Amino acid sequence: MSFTSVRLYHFRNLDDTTIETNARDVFLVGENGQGKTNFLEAVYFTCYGSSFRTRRDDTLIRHGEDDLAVEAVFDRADETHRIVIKQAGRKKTIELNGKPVSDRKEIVSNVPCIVFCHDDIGFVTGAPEMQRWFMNQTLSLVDRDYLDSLRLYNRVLRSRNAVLKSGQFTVLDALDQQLVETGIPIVHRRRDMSSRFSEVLGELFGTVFGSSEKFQLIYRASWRSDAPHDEIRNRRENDLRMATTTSGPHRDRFVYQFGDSLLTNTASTGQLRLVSLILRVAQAQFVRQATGPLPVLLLDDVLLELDPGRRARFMEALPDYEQAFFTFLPDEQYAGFRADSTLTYRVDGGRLSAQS
Amino acid sequence: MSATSDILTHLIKQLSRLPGIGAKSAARIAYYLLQADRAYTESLSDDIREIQHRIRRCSVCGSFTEADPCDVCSNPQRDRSRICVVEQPQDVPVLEASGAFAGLYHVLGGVISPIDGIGPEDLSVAKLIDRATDVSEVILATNPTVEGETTALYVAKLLEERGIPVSRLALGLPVGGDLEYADRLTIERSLRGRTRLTTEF
Repeated sequence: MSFTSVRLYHFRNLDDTTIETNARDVFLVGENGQGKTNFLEAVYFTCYGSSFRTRRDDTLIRHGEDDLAVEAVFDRADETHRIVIKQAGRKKTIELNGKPVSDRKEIVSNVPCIVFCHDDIGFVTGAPEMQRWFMNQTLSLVDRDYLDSLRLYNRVLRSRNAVLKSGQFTVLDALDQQLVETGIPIVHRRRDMSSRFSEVLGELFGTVFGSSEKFQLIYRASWRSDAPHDEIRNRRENDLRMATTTSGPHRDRFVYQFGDSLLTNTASTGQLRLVSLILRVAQAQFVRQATGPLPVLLLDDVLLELDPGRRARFMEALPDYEQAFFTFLPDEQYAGFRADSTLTYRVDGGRLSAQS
Repeated sequence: MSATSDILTHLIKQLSRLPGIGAKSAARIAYYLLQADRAYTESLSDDIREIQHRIRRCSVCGSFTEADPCDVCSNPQRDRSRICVVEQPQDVPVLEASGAFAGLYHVLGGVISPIDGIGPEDLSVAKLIDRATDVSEVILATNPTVEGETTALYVAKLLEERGIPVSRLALGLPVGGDLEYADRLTIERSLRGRTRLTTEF
């Protein structure tokens, strides 16, 4: 699938207008702070119903306005679809082909969209929460029901934590059992995905780094067994003291191993950044294998930080895609990546103007 | 502002507190009442006034009733060896309408919800344990939500500790439903709760 146009209304600093995007590659060229990333964010917003830069979607509304709208027209399997997302204050409404969509998850699997950005390095070096976020996103792209399982587990978790704080301890046995019942399916899916994802990742790593050392993703579940009732019981004292649940899928870890050692112990910042890009490429390939349609890629300034050799290898490793949006600084050597069909926009003060 | 519009505004405000009624519907209802047949409005206001005087909670099972104990609890024909546990009084007529259960009921009056600060002591649990001492089965019919499940597990444990047999309503595919449209959680539950099929006639 690919986007043929994107209409913007009160979206951050961008002009209220319709941008034609009917090309395989769309380049956005401009200085920092002019709105290049905002445009990628708008495209992402129509794919996921949320932003990749903020958790507060009401902050996407242009300063001083009350509401925003993004409308995208996209082709999939030779059919034209139209998605409209409106945000008025905290309230969001989504419409797909004129029909209201009540749950964000229904559009998530609709449009496979992968973003590459600066903060991605957090998936490698950041807090475990960031790493889980990345894996959760990957899983929810290939497994429609994963988000449901996660929501159910989180609900039990919130209940259990409320009990630990308030001291209604008699209910703990029941909640422990529910924690296992809702948590184990998540562990199973993560384990299953990690091993398949690790294979995709290892192969890509070999291509880009030209290294024969084995690179792998290792899933470290917080619970040691698939019947963790005893573990949870043994930790209860501790949980009560901390007034929170200290074991379970919300404490799972994902680590990257290069050869025999942990990646974060040995790699340089430049290498880590490249690994974070590879993670996104792997995500795109993985989703492609699982669901079929080619993805839309959003690449935000990521080429800038790679030296020419790595840049070329990275471009080669990019998965086959339906459409890609790239951002560049004006003095970058982007011309070499251009094809005849490439649409180039100059971005200046929130205005996108087409360049020939 | 005249006195009439004051009372109208007040009525609209009162009506909009009703479940499922927003400001617009409330206004529509209020204007309807304003122009409705006098006998109807009088009888409606009588009913509203009387309902809380006449209907109370059954002192045995906790369901709504005009006579205490309720028709079910006082009926000698009912099977006293089985108690079906529900969340709310309004769940009782639903189960009754099915005609599939001949035992007694017990209304918990809610579910355990730690996030909302509702614990077992806020529900009619102790009374259930008292009532259940010599029954042959307690059937838990709380809703299949996270909170309903917590409540069922909690109650089940207390009953089991006292040697009282406990069962839970089956969870799975709706009758007349389509496997194709069932979500994964429902299918998982249905598989776990599958029953052996016998073909003896």
